[in-house]
Amino acid sequence: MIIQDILAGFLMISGVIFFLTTAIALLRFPDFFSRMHAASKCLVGGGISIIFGLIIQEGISPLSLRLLLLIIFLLITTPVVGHALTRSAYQYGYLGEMVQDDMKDMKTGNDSND
Amino acid sequence: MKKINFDKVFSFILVSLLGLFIMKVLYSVAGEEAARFTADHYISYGVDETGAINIITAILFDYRAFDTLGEATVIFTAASVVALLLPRHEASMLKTEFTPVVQQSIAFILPFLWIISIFLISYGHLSPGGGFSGGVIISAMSILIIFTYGYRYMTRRFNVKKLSLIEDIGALAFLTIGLAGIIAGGTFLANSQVGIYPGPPGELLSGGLMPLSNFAVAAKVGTGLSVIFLSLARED
Amino acid sequence: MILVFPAIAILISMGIYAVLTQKNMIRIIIGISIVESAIILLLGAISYIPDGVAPILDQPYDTVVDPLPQALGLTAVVINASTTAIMLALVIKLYNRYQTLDIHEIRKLRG
Repeated sequence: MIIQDILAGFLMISGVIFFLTTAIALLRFPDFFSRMHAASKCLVGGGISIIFGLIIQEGISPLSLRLLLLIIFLLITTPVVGHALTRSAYQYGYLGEMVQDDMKDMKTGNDSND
Repeated sequence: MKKINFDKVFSFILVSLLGLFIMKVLYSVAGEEAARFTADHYISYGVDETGAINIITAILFDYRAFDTLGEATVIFTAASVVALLLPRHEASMLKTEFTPVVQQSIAFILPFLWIISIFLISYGHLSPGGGFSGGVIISAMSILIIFTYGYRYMTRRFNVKKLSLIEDIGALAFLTIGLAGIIAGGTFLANSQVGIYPGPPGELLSGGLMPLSNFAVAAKVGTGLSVIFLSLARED
Repeated sequence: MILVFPAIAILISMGIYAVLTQKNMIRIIIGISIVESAIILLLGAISYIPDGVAPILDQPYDTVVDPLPQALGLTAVVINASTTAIMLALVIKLYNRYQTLDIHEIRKLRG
């Protein structure tokens, strides 16, 4: 029981640390893409470790099955959200300073089937 | 040296005083023993009187159903105002074409969203949820469709007229449910007070007319918010 | 319970400060939304009693939180969405008319 509590607490605290670093990154990073880079880590890392902590504390029950489903949907949707946001930001021209621009050729052409 | 903006300083002082005042009021309110007799009545007798386990739904659709009617009217008014204010040009909303990654994953998510909205609506008197939450998820589905597949794809299936028709049907259904209270010999929107059989608490078919009003309000809220977003999304 | 009240006061003050000092209309709408969120937080905080469970009574509980502010909170959420939509529609209309989001410039343009 004590091991369960310690493991759950460790996971939840690491999730909170994920969220905290994301908040600091959103304030400190210079342009959109590096902020997006930090923000898409936030839900995958922080949210999932907090939900895992809750599952460990709950044990095997219908509630933890629902939490497991929540993890699956988070894993599906969060990368898609990051992908869509960065892509539309690129196409709207929030570029900032770039070292390398790999999508320069795709910008004008038809890229709906890549 | 940077020039001091006196407007900002003055606003900051004013706002700090306001914050201190609010905090003092809140602490003095919380210090007293608040009158909880309505809460005690709802908690002690709510399940027996209305047949619904979820007391919040019992309050929304039974004790204070008239408030809910006003609340639904607010959404209706907002949808009408937004549709009136914004120009009626049809155009593609975004310059961005999303990749198949986004489209496929949204297509994967949408049926689950539909299931969870129907679950929230039909179990609204038994578990957290209800007509408002389910309706909001339905409108979130329409927002996702507009963003991913484009404005035209959405309007080919559900244009504003069709959505408004569903919204009107929801409002009329809620009013008709309200008339049932008068027919049974009570006041407008009376549900369990006039002896409509509440059913065994905890079953799916319980709570009198509450599931029906949940569905009516969900149709109203979902389509109303969809109409608002459709009107906000079109640009010329 | 004790720490929630300063948070509510700070949030309300922040929102009103944004409304007073910002020039961009979108930021003013964000300020109003912050105030509305603080009021929903207030409704949640005053319904709370220590060790209370959520008012879903599938079995008889001893201490249950006050269900009435939560129902009012649901009303508040709906009305927030509606007012935000109307404000955004007005902003779109103003932007189409004046081609700017700055309220000071719009006031100047009106003369």
